[in-house]
Amino acid sequence: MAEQPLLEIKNLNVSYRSAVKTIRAIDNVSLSVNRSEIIAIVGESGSGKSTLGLSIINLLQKPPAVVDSGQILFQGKDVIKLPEREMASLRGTGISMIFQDPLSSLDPVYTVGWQISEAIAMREKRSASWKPGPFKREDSEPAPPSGGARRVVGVRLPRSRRRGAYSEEVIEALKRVQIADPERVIDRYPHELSGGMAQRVMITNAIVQRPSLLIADEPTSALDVTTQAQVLRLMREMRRDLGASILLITHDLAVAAQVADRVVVMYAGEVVEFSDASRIFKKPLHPYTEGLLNSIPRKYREEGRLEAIPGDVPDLRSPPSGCRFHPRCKYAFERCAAERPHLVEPEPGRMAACFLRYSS
Amino acid sequence: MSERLLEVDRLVKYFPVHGSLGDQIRRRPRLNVRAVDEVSLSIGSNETLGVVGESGSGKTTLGRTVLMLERPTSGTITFRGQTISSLKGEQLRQLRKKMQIVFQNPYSSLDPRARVRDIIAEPLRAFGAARGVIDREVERVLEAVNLPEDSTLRFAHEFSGGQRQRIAVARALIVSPDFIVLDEPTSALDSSVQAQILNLLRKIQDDIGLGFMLITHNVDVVKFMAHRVAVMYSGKLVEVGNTRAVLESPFHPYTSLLVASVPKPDPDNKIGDVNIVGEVPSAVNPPPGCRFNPRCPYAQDVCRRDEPLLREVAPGRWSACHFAGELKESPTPGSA
Amino acid sequence: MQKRRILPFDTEETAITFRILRSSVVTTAGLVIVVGFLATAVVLWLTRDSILPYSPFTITPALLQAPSLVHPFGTDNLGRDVLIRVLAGAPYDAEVPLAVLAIAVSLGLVSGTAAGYLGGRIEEVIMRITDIFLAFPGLVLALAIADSLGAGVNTSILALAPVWWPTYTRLARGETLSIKSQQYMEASRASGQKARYIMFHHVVPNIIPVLLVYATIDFGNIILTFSVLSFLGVGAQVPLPEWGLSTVQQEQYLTSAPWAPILPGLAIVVVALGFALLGDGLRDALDPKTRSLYG
Repeated sequence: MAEQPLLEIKNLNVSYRSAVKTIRAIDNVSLSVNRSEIIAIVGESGSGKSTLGLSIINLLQKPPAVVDSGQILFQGKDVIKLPEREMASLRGTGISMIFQDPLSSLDPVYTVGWQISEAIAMREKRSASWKPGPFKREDSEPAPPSGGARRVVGVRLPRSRRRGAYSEEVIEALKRVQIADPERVIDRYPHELSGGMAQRVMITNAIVQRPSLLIADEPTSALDVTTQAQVLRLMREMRRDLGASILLITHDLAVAAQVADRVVVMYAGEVVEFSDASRIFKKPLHPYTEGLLNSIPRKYREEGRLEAIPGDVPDLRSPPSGCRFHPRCKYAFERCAAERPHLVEPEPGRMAACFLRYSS
Repeated sequence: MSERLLEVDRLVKYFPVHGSLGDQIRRRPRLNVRAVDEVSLSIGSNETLGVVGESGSGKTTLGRTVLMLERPTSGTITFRGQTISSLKGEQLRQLRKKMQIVFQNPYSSLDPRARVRDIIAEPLRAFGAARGVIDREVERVLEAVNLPEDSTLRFAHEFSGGQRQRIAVARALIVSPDFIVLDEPTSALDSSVQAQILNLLRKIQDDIGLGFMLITHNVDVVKFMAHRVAVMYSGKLVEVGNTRAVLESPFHPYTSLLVASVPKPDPDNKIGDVNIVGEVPSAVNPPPGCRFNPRCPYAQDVCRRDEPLLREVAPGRWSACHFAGELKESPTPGSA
Repeated sequence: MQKRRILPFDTEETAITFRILRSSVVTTAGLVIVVGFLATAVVLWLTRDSILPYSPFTITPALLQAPSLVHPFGTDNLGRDVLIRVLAGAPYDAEVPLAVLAIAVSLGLVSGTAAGYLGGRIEEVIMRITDIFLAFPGLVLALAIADSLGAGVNTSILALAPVWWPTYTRLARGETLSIKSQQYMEASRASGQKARYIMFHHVVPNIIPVLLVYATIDFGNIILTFSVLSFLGVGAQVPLPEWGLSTVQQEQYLTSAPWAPILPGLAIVVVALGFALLGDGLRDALDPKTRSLYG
């Protein structure tokens, strides 16, 4: 499997600049994602995980964000250096992203059916076989619905909800994400859906475009645990059916365990551990990962207290010297405060940035 | 049997839904969001009752109504033997000395323009404590929540989420209450900090001996914190009992579903085919019979017809399922 | 984070506000104009014009002289130095808006907060009274009151205040309503606090910034309206050097000696503009997104 990785991030540095301070949000991060692979990026607030996701799809607010150095190679091309037009054509069908709050990602004045049709239309336009036809519905933009305008007036006239051109495919897609009664759902507006359904609609929007890489930023954090279980299973199926790679950004290690092939743990802007899922949960290499695992309350009350990581996530305006985690680390020794550890590979296929793992 | 700290009997809280003008002209009956629908439970001192549920379960409304932050639509709440559900005005205000709350969001529950000392001292000030007493008590609770003494003059926005939540806990503790409602106290916090706060809350309960109602959607949290757990679904209690017993051998299909859906940090233990369809039912117009029946893999005719009552199916184990106790097999409702 | 001194406000936050104001030329200009204007007004008021080289009321035979080294702004129809008169007019055009705003904002704050927080009958009563006042076009109302009370600077204050306070009541009520749903308000109730305490310790400190920003922008408007009152003869009376009055008095010389009416009028425009720019800058400074970029 020596093919070129789908995504390669090399020594990426991103900071947020303001009038008075500079925050290094991503510090020398490198990682790679192969085809049909699910990678989880796990971290707490300030870890840089969301910034990383936005950097890959080039949706950072610049300013205040600045990419200081590094490369993000998607299918060999450096995304950072692409002009915006080319980047825009890459989004959706090449790299797609879904976010935590589905209701703010779906346009409230268009029906579900229309929005998904729009996504399909975009895919069709970009495919090689697209030919502009003389206003035939099948191969031009779906007719804009009058639904929006009629709703503004406040009166709901019949026939005011247009489905869009690709109804059949839309219904199929909704069925695949296990939405019951898709024929009715395509006529609904986003605010009429529950959180779980809206999230699944957002996922549908992303998958009908058949992206090679899907970035999911905390897609289940706002969902009930029962809905979350369904969505996570859906993601595993997506990888299987579409061959898409998924970059799942989450703060929840348990969620990562459910879907990921490999796990990247980030802390204060750096990668501290990078390993395959089967080994990281049994034997974490970095004290932070170990601490995170211990923080999950898995014991019953009578079984004693949790082993919590003391202290707080560091203020990125003035991060600790040396290893950023050392003030909270129970194994810390002198070297940890003085020097910054870089990633080493104590076991094949597993990396950790910790002096404890240095063999010398 | 010793008197229970808090007893709730058939508590109901409905929120009216404003119909359209057309509805009002046509004299349609007023619709209500049935947030809490006949809930009965009790909590002892030095006990944590975990109230678990997903969105639409009514657990947050339950917590607030129990504290009389909302007036109950009907039902009784008894606190330390006194009926509080009918209190108003000054008598109700006096209750706040004994019953407190910690809110979910540490960013919006602290006044951004107030200094920490004033935030924490507020409950004492509400009842006219003297300056010297206030200073002493603020110091005491700051120590109890592990915040440094010099926090008092700072503003809330200088602190991290976990520290702010400690401030909120300190505020709840300063009047030495007997009972605190913890409304998702760690949901807005990072996991590493969550563990600290949970440890802190347990320590406080062990040291002082108060009663907690812990409201959460997180089954792991309730496992770690609660002596007993009450599972809510769509405004109703579906199961109550000792935490370990309920989570290890549930007596209600919803509880089984909930427990099975919790992801474990173990890639070899992926959540199986959790056979769940549909959505949480409308709170305004719940389905007839058992509210869970449209999604329940075991639903029978009786479930669609008669609403099951919460009854004691085993010593200390309550369930609102017609078939409770008969469905004791696998915790995962597998596809038939 | 060394804030051990017990000042009533947050020094770090104030520093951020200043940084934001200084970052833009336009708002800095506004700040400079406002500070310059207020300083001039205060100094002249305290010293009762005595620091000026000569009194603004001194009539000389040097009528309608063009600007020169001796009279940088020229002289008016009574030989009075226009620059001196413009400077001496500052206290009047500062005093009136300050007094009017002091009354309007405090009255508006109290009534609006009470209406918003307490709701019910109290809110109805307060808001309907407010509506009645708002129904009158401002200038007409001010004129009517000024007319019945008699002309003069002090009566102008009493005439203008009723025009302005309803706006602040509405503003305060709106802000109170949006704050009411914040969780720290509920936390306060849960702590057992009484409504009065909550209103004055939680609502007011959080809505005052918005009211002050509005007041800053309004300052210029009040100067303009007061000038109009003077223009119409019911505000400041001769021979006060108030700007609006000066402008109307010299109006007939617009073509022959334009400096006489234009310069006092320009003073009004510049100061009103300065307040508008400053107020605008302050409004931006309140936005949490902007603030996070500066601290």
